Amino acid sequence: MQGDDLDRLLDAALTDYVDAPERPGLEQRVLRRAREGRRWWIPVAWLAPALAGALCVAFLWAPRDPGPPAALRARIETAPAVVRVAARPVVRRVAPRANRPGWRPVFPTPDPLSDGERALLRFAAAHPDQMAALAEDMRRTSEPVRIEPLRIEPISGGSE
Amino acid sequence: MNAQPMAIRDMAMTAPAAAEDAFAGLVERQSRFVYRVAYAIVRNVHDAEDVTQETFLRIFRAKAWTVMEDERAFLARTAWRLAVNRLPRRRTTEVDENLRAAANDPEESAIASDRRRMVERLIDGLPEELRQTLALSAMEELNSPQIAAAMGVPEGTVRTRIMRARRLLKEKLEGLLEGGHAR
Repeated sequence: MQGDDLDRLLDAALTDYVDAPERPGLEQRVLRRAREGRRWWIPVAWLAPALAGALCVAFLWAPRDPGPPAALRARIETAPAVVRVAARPVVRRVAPRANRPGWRPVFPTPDPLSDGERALLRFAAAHPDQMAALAEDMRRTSEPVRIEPLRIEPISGGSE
Repeated sequence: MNAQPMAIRDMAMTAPAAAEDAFAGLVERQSRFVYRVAYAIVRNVHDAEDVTQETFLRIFRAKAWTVMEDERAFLARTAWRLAVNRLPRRRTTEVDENLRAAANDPEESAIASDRRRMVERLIDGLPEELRQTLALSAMEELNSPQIAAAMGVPEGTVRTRIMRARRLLKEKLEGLLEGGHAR
C-alpha cells in the first residue's frame, strides 16, 4: 500500500474515530441539569442562614438548668438562710490598753478570781492568825539569805 | 467570533433572564461540539454526555460564558480537562497490550476485515498524549492553536505530536498490511 493510500486510510479512520454517535435531546438535558444545579443551591443558600439563626435563638432560650422539683424548692425557700463564708484569719485591731480612756496601771490585773484564789480568801477569813503566820513565813522566805563569813580558828598545838 | 461573546456579556450585565437566554443559546450552538471533544477523549457516549453536561454546568455556575473570548477554545479546554480526568489510569497499559495484540495477530484483524476498525485499535494503542492530540486534530472544528490552547501546550508541540502519531500509525499499518498480504 502506498503512502498516499495510508494517509487516506488514516484520515478516514480518524474521521470515524471522532465521529460521535448522535445523542438526541442533548441540549435539553444540558440546560435542565444546569437549571437543576442552580435550584439545588438556592434553597441551601436560604436555609443555611435561617438554620443558623434558629440554632442561636434556641440556644439563647433554652433553660440551662431545670432546678429542683417544686416541693424541694418550697423547702429551700422557707429554710433559714445559711451564709457560709469562707474561713479566713480574724485580725482584731485592738488599740493598746494604755491608749484606752480611763485606764490606769494596776497590778495584778483585776481579772476575775480563780477557784484557788477564792479558796485562799475563804481560808484567810476563817483563820486570820494562821494566815498572818503564813504571810510572815512568805516574807521571811523572800528575804535575802545572809551568810556569815566563815571563820576558822587556828588550831593551838600544845603538844609542840 | 468575538462579537457574539461581547453581546452575551452585555446581556448578562443587563438582566438575569437575558443572561439565561444567552447561556441557552451557547448550549444550542456548542453542545454538540463539546460532546464531540469529550467523545474523542473518552470514547464512550455516556461518559461523553456526562462530560458535556459537567462542562456546561461549570460554565453556568461560574458565569464563565460572559467572559469567554474564544468560545470553542474555552469549551474545548474545559471539556478536555474533564474528559481526561475520567480516563482510567491503566488505559495506556491496556491499549499498549491491545496494540501488540493487533500487531502480532494480523489474522484476527483481517478476519475483522475492517481496516478502519483496525486503525482505530491502533489509535487507541498510541501513547495518551499522542492519541488525544491526534483525535482533536481530526475534528474539523478545531485548528492547531485551539488544540494547543485546549491542552495547554505550545502549538509547535501539537504539530510535533500529530506528526509522531501519524508516523507511528503508518509504520504499524504497513507492518500489519504487509503481513496480511504475505499470507
